[in-house]
Amino acid sequence: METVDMDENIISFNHVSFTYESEEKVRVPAVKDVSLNIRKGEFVAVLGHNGSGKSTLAKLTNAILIPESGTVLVNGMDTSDEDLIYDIRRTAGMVFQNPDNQIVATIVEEDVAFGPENLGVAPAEIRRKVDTALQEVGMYEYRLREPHKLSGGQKQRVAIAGILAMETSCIILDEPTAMLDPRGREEVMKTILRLNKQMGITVLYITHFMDEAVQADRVIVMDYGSIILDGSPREVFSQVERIKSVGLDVPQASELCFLLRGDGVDLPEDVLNAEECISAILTAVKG
Amino acid sequence: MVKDITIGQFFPGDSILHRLDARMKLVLTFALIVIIFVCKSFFSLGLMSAFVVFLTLISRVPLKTILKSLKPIVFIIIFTAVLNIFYTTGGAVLAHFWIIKITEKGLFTALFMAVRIICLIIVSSLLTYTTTPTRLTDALERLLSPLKILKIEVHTIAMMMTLALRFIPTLIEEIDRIMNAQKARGADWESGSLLSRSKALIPVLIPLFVSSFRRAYELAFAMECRCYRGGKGRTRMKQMKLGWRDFAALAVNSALLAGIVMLNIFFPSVIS
Amino acid sequence: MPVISTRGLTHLYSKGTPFEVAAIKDINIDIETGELVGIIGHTGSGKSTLIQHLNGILKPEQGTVLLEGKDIWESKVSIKAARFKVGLCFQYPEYQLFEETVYKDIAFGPKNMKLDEEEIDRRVHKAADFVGLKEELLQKSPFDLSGGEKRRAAIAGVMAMEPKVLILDEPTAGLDPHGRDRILRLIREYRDNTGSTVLLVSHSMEDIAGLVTKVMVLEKSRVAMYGTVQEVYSRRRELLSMGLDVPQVTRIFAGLRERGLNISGDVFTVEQGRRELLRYLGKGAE
Repeated sequence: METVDMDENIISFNHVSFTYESEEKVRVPAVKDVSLNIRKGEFVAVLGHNGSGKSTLAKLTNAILIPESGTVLVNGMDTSDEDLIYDIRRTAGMVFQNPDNQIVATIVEEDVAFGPENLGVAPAEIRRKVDTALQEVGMYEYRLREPHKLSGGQKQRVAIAGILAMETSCIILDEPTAMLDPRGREEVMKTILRLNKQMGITVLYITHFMDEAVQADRVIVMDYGSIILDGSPREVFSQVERIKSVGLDVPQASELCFLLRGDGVDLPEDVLNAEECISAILTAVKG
Repeated sequence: MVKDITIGQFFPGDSILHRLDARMKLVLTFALIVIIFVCKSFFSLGLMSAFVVFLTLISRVPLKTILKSLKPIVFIIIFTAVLNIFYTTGGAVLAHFWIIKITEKGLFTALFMAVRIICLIIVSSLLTYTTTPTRLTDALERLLSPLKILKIEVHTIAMMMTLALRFIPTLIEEIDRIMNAQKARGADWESGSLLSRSKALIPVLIPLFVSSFRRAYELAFAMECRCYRGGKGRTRMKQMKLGWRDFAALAVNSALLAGIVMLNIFFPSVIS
Repeated sequence: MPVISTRGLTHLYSKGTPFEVAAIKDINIDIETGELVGIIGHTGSGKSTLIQHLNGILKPEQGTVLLEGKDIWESKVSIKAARFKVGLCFQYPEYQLFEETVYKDIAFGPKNMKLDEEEIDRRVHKAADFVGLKEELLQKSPFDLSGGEKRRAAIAGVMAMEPKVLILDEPTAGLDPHGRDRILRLIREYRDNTGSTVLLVSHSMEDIAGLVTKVMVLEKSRVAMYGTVQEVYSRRRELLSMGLDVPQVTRIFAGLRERGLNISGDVFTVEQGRRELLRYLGKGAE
């Protein structure tokens, strides 16, 4: 088995399980014996249907939830250690699904300052971090606005800025675009991709949108608490049947090629987008 | 639309009043209210009124807006005045029908009371017109922080106020949404008895409460994830510093108080 | 006669102030009975404003809304009736559930229609059954349901009014692909079974391609396009200039045509694409 350099992993799950207890005292396994390592600087998308455990996975990462069995390590820190929770959350920040329910202040720049203020950073330093963070997400011109006047995509960018200002090494985003319109989704996706590529921030991105997962370095697919696929977008989405069987979408290009392969047309398995599909079909037609 | 609602009465501007430190403004407003009650003669009240007019002018808040703040209490002013006209007696009798006597003292007292109320309202309104709710709660938090010694959770209370201010517009939007959704299913708040109209509020209030609890729950998590641990060890990005304007305002206020006390001494009191 | 029409419909926000903006301007539409119309447009294009006029939640600044040929604002009686004849289901409808039981909540609409108990009961059961809510769930509190169940209960609440025109504002918002497919199938079945007219506001050109009979594109407060899927989706350049795009599979076939293939560009779903390519290759589809 490949030995992974422990220093390179920012998040490690080691045989982690977590169960919810529902209203009728029914125990629902949300995460079942999951092991996974996320390296520094990776952009990992976790894809799954509602109930697959993907949100639970996110919450286990920064100690909102503590595993029943197994350990979660963030930069070597065990999430079940109460004394380390503060430091864990300084390392791994989280952006939530509902844009409104994470904005605390009446003015954008004051909300971005909330994190650093909690960390006891010196006022002048906070000012610098807030301005930088707002510029990174492209919301600097809105710094004096009231949050309720912003669009969903803008609010999420402010939330991201709030985490950036805390200078965490890793950002976890729990379905950040589920409540946004396509424009907002694009804004958020572009912002987070840039932060990952240019600033080397590790990103753990929970979603059910295939067209977002396709842009990640690595895609993990979850189904009823277990990881069923883990690889590059190309590797994962070529498994069209598997993905569809767990109630998820594949790109139309991939699906088209998959169906045509079934009809005897010679097409490659790893077509991911329109251009590749066009080339593949042209080759098959000419050949 | 609903989104354009600004909380409170804040009127954006750049006047000297807008630029004063919020803490000083709070303290001076309170002081002014006390000073208004210290006025005993027409002359001292006259000086006070002149000062209020002066404040109104330098605030650059339009007269129309200021008068708007008086609208809700017009009834109280008239009521107080009328009460005093008829029930405060003394001095020369100006009119007499049946058992109703209108005396000089009654009239003067009524006028005095009316002017006093108007001054009170305008002074308080000027505070909210020139200070954002955020700055006000900030100022309150900093002013009250010495109370920490008495184990009063000043920071927590201030945080609650800030969160309330932050969410009022959001909640208003939500009420609008819920009302429209229930209207679309035939809910009616406009017709019917008072009882049926009150009952028709239930389809709005219950979803609102449920969603507010959920909001609070999610918000608490979000705050914790940003390392919020209450007021301990927290710093603030925005520092409040007193400048020359604030000390000037303090000086002016003190001079006003001195002037009013003098006028009280040298001129007859209207009220005892 | 179209079941619902508008003439010169205009709505202004912040009227009389320097911020006055037309949310919808001079809208003229005619929707025939039984159509399943997909309404597409960006946030701010006027979609939400338009649909809120169709059931009288919003009053037009100018213009009229005609339901079966009659102005809905004619009288107090007609506007009240319009609420029930045009059923509007808002986004995230699960946030409007409030009653003690799911049954009572679904019954809210019919009750406001002043129907008798028997009729209400029939409608509630019919609607609940249609959206796939099991009998046991009817007696539970709506707050005890799962997210998907809540949404279906809310939709049932509007369906129970048995409106002539059912309007759904982004009924798949926030749902995962499986949930989305389920709801869209439901909507199609509803329209096929009841013959009602259905309007469906959506963000996804791909979702509605295989579903609707007509597409309405709203842009900058006006109706930019109204026609069949084929008519609208073939105007790709215009759609792009509005910040919209056609489904990926449509782009693929447009690309194949550009490269010289004598293949149809009228492909809007993956299944259509498959069949068209097989036809081109001389093979039949299974």
